Amino acid sequence: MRRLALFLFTTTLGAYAPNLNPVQWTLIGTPTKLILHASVAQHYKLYSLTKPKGGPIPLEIKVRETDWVPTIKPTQPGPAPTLAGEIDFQIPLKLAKPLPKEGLTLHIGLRYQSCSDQICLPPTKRELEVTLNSASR
Amino acid sequence: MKFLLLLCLSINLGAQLRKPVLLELFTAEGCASCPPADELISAVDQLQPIPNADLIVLSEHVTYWDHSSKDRFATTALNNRQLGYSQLLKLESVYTPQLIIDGKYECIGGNGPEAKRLILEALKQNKPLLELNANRVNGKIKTNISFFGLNGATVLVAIAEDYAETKITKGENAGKTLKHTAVVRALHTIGTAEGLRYDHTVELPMPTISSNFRVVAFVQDSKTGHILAAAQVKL
Repeated sequence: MRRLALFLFTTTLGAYAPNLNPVQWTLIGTPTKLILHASVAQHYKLYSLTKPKGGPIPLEIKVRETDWVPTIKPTQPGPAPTLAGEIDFQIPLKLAKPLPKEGLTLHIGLRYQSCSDQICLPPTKRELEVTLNSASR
Repeated sequence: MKFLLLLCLSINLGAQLRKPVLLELFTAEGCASCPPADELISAVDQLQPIPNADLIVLSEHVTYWDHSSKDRFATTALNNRQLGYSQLLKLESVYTPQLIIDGKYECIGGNGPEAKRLILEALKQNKPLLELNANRVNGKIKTNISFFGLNGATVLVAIAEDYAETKITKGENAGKTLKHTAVVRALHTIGTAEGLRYDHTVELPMPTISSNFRVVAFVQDSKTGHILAAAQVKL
């Protein structure tokens, strides 16, 4: 036990300063598709859309304007329960009504959890927005 | 009178050979990164590896990992305590495992070398002696706390279970038996220090505890969150 304490107290197990905002998001969109990009900092992982029940929450993506976009089925590259590095989530869009001339701003709500091998962050919420117009078709 | 106060303070400081440092580990049973920090805090508690330091540890379980199963030690009051530190220390977010040292420094809970460095920093701060007596009386914990000075600071008492273990069946720690040390089961704000000497006796309710427990009293600066004095009694 004493050896363990001394080891834990004197050995740096790849320690690094905690990054408390390890996932950066960007969103681009056309009237038929959104691409949600996640940039996950080194050492960290994001719990994915397909993470099984139990433990940390899986990524949730919601479009707020449900009268325009009643449902979405986002997909991720591969079925892994955690994702790291640069990730593109594809979100096909089927608008319920024709796109207005002035364009349409969609608000996307995210809820997710991320961990490194040394820390875990609580569920985090982010709101993103993207404006769709016919020119971006 | 000032001379008398200074004399008392210096006598008390001289009598206190090992300086107390309060280590608060914010942890959770649903957090995959937390078991190494739980292990570290347990070793620190038992072995007291820093000379001249009386390392007083508290494991404070937070609820924000309770998605698939409830951490029976976690409370929202402890979430709020961690959030308060996060705001005082100007952090972007709370996280687990997080070690708060004397309310002044923080590091990743499993980062032993950084914890040691910060404990040595904390030891540079002189603290007045906090005298603590605690006994079980008629199903309650009769606690007496006394110290000189520290006007305006908040006096708190934690009741912590010496040892606890939980077999985890869900989540990323599923299959593990997690072992915890000095698990906070109740945290009471007793009052505010006023006058030359604080001397207060209080009877605290006994929480449901399955092992031995300890009473930890500490005095905290209401504005900065820094721990100004601390002591513990094991019952």
